[in-house]
Amino acid sequence: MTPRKERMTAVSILLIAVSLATFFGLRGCDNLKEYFFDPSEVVAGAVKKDQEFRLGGMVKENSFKRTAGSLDVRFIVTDFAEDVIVRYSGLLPDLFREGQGVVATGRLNDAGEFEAHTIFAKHDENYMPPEVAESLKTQHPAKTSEPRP
Amino acid sequence: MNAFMNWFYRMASPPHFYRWSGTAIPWFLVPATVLAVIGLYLALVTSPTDYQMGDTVRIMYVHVPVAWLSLMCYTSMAVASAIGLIWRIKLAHAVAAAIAPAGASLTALALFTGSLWGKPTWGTYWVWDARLTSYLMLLFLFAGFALLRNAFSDVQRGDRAAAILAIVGVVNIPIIHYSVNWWNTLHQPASFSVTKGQAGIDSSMLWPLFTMLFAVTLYLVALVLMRTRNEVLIRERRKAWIKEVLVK
Amino acid sequence: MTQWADWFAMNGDGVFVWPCYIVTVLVLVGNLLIATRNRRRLLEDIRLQIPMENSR
Repeated sequence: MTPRKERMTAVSILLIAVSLATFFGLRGCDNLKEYFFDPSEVVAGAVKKDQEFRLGGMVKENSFKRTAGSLDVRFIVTDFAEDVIVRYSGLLPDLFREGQGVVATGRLNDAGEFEAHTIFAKHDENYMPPEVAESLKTQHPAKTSEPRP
Repeated sequence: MNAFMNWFYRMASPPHFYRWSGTAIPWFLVPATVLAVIGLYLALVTSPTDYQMGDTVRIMYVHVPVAWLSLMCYTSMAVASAIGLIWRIKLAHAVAAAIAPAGASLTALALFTGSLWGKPTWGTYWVWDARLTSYLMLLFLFAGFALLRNAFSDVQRGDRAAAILAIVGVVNIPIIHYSVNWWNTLHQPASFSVTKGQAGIDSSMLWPLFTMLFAVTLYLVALVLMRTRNEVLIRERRKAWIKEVLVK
Repeated sequence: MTQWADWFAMNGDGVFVWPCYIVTVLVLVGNLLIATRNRRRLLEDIRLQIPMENSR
């Protein structure tokens, strides 16, 4: 082998070794990387009781209720397979909507409801002017609340 | 193949590079400025608001180009480093050294604009999800590259050590890109996809985005050429050709 | 006049949008200025070094 080919081999081996190490390293610590749990995982018991965690999914259409005269709200987070009821008291982010994504931090109470102390809105990857969104809605009414795979 | 390699070696010889890059820089910088002015006008004045985000969608026209190009910067830095290591081309190391600060500044800009976008949309400036955390790593990789290179008094040894770091760090690039698909993140998935081939961005917003992207790309080429010329001056200061260039 | 003020305020989102654009432009232009300043300094250094070596 020429010295140049030796160096090429060395660089390739280095790259492959680091990729493999990263791949198995990342597989080993799954719980570190999942920023939030889906309702299905929560219903299946992925989270220990009294443990604080984040719950992520879609705010179910027509599930949002506010107790009159207070900041207390209640809504359902869904991944279109399972639902979790969320209770929260406080200001909501501007992008919080029914049919849009949300990530809530808190813990489950005895009734199996999620008591959140922080709510973040999760945006989807679609950007369009209001007129386009309006015409999409009339053409395909289901389009805006399509589940993310 | 041989003819190409010969051409490549000739273009990459420091005196030759120094001469052609001097003429090339304005050809990138002038169109970059023109496109940037058009892009800013489109982004800030004529483009529509978003149906969900309103005017904050305008942050996309700076956030997406700088974030996307920072990944390009890192990839080119790693490729240049590998070329420098394998073929012992000095200019390749000079290019890698020139890219690092440019890439770091773009990464910092993407983090800054991203957090200013996150506050009104998500409700927070920062979260430790897989996308944001792996992207923060990119800033550390650029900084580590520059620090490691400067830690050696011998330019050549610094070049080689930093080149290995650049190549090792390139595994972070696919992690950043796919983090939004592989794991649950607060950051939204990509609007463009090679496999799906569809854009989640309406065409009225795509044009300002592409104009800005193209402007920043041309700007980056000019900046990296300028910085590479400086690196060449540092490395070749004792060579005869430099004196010939300067005396003229 | 008010339509310019409205445009600038961006329905209250201006406080997030404008810093993004201003800082980006400053950093990108700053990169170019630093590169040209470094180049000038390097050329000066090299020019100073030429007569020194010739006199040796």
